[in-house]
Amino acid sequence: MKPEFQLSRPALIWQMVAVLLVVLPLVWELPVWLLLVTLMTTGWRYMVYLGRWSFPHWSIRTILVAGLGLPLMLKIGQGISLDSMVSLLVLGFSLKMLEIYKRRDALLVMMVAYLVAASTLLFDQSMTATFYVLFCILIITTALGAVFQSSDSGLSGPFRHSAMILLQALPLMVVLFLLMPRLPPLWTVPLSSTSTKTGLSEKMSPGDISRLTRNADIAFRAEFVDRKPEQSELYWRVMTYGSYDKGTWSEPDGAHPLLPRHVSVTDIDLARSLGDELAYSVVMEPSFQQYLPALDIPLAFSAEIRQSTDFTLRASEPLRERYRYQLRSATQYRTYPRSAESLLRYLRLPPGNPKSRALAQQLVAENADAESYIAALLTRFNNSFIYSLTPPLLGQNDIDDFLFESQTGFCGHYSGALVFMLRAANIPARVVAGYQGGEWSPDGSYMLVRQYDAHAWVEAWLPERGWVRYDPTAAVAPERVQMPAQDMYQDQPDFLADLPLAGLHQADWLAQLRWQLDAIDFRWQRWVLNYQNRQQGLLERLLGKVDSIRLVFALMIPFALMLLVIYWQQRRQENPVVRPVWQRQLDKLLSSLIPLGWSRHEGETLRQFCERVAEGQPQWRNELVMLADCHERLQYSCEQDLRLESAMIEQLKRCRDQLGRR
Amino acid sequence: MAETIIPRGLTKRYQDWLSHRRGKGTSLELNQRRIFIFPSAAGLAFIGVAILLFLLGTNYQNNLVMALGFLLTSVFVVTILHTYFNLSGLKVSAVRSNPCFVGEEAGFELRLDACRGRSHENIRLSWPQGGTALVSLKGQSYQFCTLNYPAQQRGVLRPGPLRIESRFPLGILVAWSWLGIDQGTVVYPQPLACGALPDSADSEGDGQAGMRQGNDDFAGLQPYQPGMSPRRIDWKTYARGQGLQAKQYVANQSTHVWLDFSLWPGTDLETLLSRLTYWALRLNQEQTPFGLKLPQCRIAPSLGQNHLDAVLRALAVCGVGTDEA
Repeated sequence: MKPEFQLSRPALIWQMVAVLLVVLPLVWELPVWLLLVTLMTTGWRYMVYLGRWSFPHWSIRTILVAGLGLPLMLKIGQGISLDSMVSLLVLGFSLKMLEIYKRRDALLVMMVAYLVAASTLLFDQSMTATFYVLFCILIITTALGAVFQSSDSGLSGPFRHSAMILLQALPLMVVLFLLMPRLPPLWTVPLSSTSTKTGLSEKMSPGDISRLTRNADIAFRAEFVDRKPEQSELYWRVMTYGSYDKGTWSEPDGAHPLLPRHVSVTDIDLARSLGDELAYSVVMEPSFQQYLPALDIPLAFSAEIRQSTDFTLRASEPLRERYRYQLRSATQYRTYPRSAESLLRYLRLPPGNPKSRALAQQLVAENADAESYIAALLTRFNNSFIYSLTPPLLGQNDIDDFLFESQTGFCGHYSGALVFMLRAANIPARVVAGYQGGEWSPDGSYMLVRQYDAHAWVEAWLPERGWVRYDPTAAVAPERVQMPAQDMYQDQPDFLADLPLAGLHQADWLAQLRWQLDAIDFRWQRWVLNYQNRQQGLLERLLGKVDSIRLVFALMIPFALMLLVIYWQQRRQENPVVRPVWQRQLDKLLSSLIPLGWSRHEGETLRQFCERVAEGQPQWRNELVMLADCHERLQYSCEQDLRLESAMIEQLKRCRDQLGRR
Repeated sequence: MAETIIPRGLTKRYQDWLSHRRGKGTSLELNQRRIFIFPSAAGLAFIGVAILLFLLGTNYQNNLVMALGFLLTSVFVVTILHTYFNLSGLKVSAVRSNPCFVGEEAGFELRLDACRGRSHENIRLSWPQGGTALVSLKGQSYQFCTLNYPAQQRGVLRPGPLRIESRFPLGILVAWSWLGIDQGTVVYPQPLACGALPDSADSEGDGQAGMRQGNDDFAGLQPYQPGMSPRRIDWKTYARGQGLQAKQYVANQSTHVWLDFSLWPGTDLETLLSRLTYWALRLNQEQTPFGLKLPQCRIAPSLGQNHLDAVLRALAVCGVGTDEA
């Protein structure tokens, strides 16, 4: 092993820092024991570096590899997922730490470190994570550079170099990012084996939505293209529940077949727009579900989205990452049944709740048509019911208990009860779950919808109008649909109870700060994370027309410019040769001798010249010979030596004094 | 091997092109004509990681991971320039070379001059078969380094093109250059001990007597100085009142030696030269004047380092051409 292939001290230290930094953000994603292994091996390597311990024996290393690697391999054997792949990488480079002696080992560790650092961004795409990963890349590059730089550059030398390189590389990266065409995914690997997210579920028991009101997570953001709708128009439909059993609303699988791609409900005459339409886009947070919120009847939407016959939308696969889609919805519409039989399931009721059924019969008798029947029910709700996030528990006959005993509840209770009463009166009805309203950003450019905006309402089938929306909660607490949920719920004791700093949540300046951060986050989302949706438009604006020749030119010109800048920068570092001080003083001395008749001939060494002068002026001999000595020592020294230079300068001074005494 | 596959004409043209690029002379500056640059093994791995990140980003539709892939690509491109600048402008000059004997390593001293105040770090100089040296020029305007080259054959040693390479700053690219620095030294034959010199080496009466002090014949008087042997004082002149005089004697200088090509008839040339080398070194050490008779040259008997060098050089180049080193 040649000595130059051994790792220097700075290289080793940077390596250890890089490995620890890279692993740190994965604390939440990977098993804890894996991170302990990384800590242990890094610590061991540090002790080896200090000279206290020695490298582990090969048998120990083998046991470690077998004992820790096998379980991981077995887990991967069951099904490849991203977190298991990252686990394997982390295990690999942690164990490799125990045998870094040479350049090659160090290089391997650093290459894997780049991959692990990047994988952090698969789990978290926030801006903080991005800047952290950029910092990691800087440190890894430093560690890489430290391997190839002489150890006397210390710790800071490699850092300065890699910082410089990264700074110069960033503009090029931006160019590549903007111009490189994006490809569709080549294969899919599940992101995580276990992940749960809050959000609407596929079943609704009356308590579910109150669970969501404790949660201030962002559900999605929406941006409207031209008209901004009123709060009371913002009913974000996510899913419908048509079946009712044992106090739970749900939708059996296959109740609503998905339409083929590129087909919307208007194409097969299930709905027709009556004029007023809204164009908008939604950025959905990862929900790990396929449901996509949309207003009323979506007419046109991104190609990969499919529509269900209950007008709701589905993504092509569960959303593991933020997802942005554009769509247009009809807010005034008329719907038609798929068939008369398809409405029958919206009339089915399980036995029980006799008092409610009796009330329904009574009200049907009192009211001539469906609409007045519904109006009577809503008036009833309005008169004596109370809106509360902490209602009392209901018994076996839940609808009876709610309508006649507690009369206290929130959207889940009201919509469930209303659908029951409609079906009891032979009016097809269903519960719709989704979000209501949202919060406008302070500059009004987009709308933020949080989990606590979750809501449930009712759609009733009226033969002349199709499905019509009724919101019984609005009848009880009209402010729920007229102002954002945050304002509405504020005096409810249970609102946001799960938030650790619930009290702070309402402070003004904090709210403002939150909004500002969210606005930055939203821009980040639109411009960076979902850039592929904007790339085409941007490129068309920049290049006029997007074809491969223009793209190549657009790529090459900034690249060439940047390289030119770096070239120029490097050249600027060159300073003209600085003549040393003694050289200038010597020149002065020699030129002061010229008027006395002594000038140095072409090709004459300083010593020869001095001897010639000394022959004519013997009183100067001593100093001149010493000057020649000093000069020779300086000229033939192997490296720059400050002591020799100062000796020369002193000797020059003595010669000047001597000449001055003449 | 290569010649069998590649047409000879092509190989020759390639060699010509290479040597044209290497340049020739005692002092060469590295410029874009001479510097080659290519990804190292680590660099290929680096590119691999960048491509992997691009694929990963594409697959997960993750723009940030893709951006990291682009960042690594850009780092690679920028590093090309940094690696190039670390070598460019550097001037390499031959300073001196030290002769040596076969089996030893000849030392070649080189001087590296930085390009007008720039830094050049971790420069590796090497000959394919010889030693290597690592040089860093940080702030200094020049530096010396010595490179060794094993001497396997007597005669003039020319180490051939010098490889100068640098992986600074990230090790993902390697920039290198071959410099045809004009530099050579003489390799003396390996000394070989062999009993005594044959009698024919002593040549009596031949040549002039050297002025060595001895005690054979009286040669006159000189003023006595402290330190001279008291036995040499000429008491008779002292008695005549002419002060202390010491008697001088001269030894008859019949013992200078000719190292002759035909001393050991029948031995092969290399052994013969090795033995002559041994005796030249030994006689010089014993302060016995010696001369050298070779088929092409004849060096008169003498002593001293310069004489020894001349003799050794004549032995080194005997029969292998005499182009000046």
